[in-house]
Amino acid sequence: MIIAFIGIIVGLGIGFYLPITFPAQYSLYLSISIIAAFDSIFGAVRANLDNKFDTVIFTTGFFGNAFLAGMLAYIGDQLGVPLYYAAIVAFGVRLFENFAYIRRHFISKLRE
Amino acid sequence: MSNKYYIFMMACIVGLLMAFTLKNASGEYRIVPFKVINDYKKVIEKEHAEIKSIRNLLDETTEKIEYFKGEQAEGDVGDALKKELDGYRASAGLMALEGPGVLVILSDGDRELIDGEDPNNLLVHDIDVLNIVNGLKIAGAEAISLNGQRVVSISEINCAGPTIKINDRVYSQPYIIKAIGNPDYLRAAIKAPGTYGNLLKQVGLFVEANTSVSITVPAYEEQIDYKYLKVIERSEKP
Repeated sequence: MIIAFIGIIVGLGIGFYLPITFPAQYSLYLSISIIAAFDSIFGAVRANLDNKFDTVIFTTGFFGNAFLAGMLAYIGDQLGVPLYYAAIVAFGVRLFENFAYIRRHFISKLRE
Repeated sequence: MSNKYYIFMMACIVGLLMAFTLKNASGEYRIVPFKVINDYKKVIEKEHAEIKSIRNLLDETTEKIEYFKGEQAEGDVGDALKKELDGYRASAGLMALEGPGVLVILSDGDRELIDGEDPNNLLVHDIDVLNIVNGLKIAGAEAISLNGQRVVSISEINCAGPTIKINDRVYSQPYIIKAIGNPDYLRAAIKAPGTYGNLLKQVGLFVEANTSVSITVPAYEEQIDYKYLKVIERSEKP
């Protein structure tokens, strides 16, 4: 759990330090992809707590979800329908579920 | 331990992506759909087209300036200006013109009235003259005169009792319409079956159309005094 937050902070630091910028045009797709990737990280932390962590599943889920979410947003934009809401809702719900699970796990650990 | 290391790596990637997005999000920012971007693209294309046409206008004007400068070097810029002015005056109807065309004579009919027939049927009305003139215009007449009055953009053809008023002057029949243009087309516009002139002839009025190789159309003589017109500064190319 903590390692994930440290990773994100380190990544933020590196990202701000590196002189790389994405075109503002694709900013929407990137942010949807970030939600998907974020969900994957939480899922990985949860799986790790359960000792069910699988590198292959995690990697494919991480990149696959991010790509699919970005594509969904792109297709929605082309059709004029905000399809990215689907990605936001789906990954948002899973994010909170995973977080709730991790929270309960740590609380029960603390009470022991 | 290796699992944690792996999660750390991936979290770093997420952080990187977030940083890239946050960098873009500086200042006021909201989501812009592709549709809006497309709309803006169209607007920009339109503006580009306009800029292109303005550039063309600029080129033309530059050419003109060069031409006038050349004339000036030869010492007769006045002649060039006069030539251009004459062209404008001719198209405005302020100059007498000459060319091949047609001469139309329109007069009341002289046949006996059928019992109970409205005598109006055999009279030439302003609307008849108006329709004939319009028919000539459709046939490509370049200059028209009615009883020596040039038909210009502000000419009226109006009923004035037994007479007709044009350019504020009253004329009685016969009405002589002169038109410059393709003589065959103009004659056909009066005489061909189905035309207004043919219809008048069938009703019993006197309609005659003769072609000529040389028709003279006089200039518009009245003083044109515009009260409400204002020239817009940004003039399109003539």
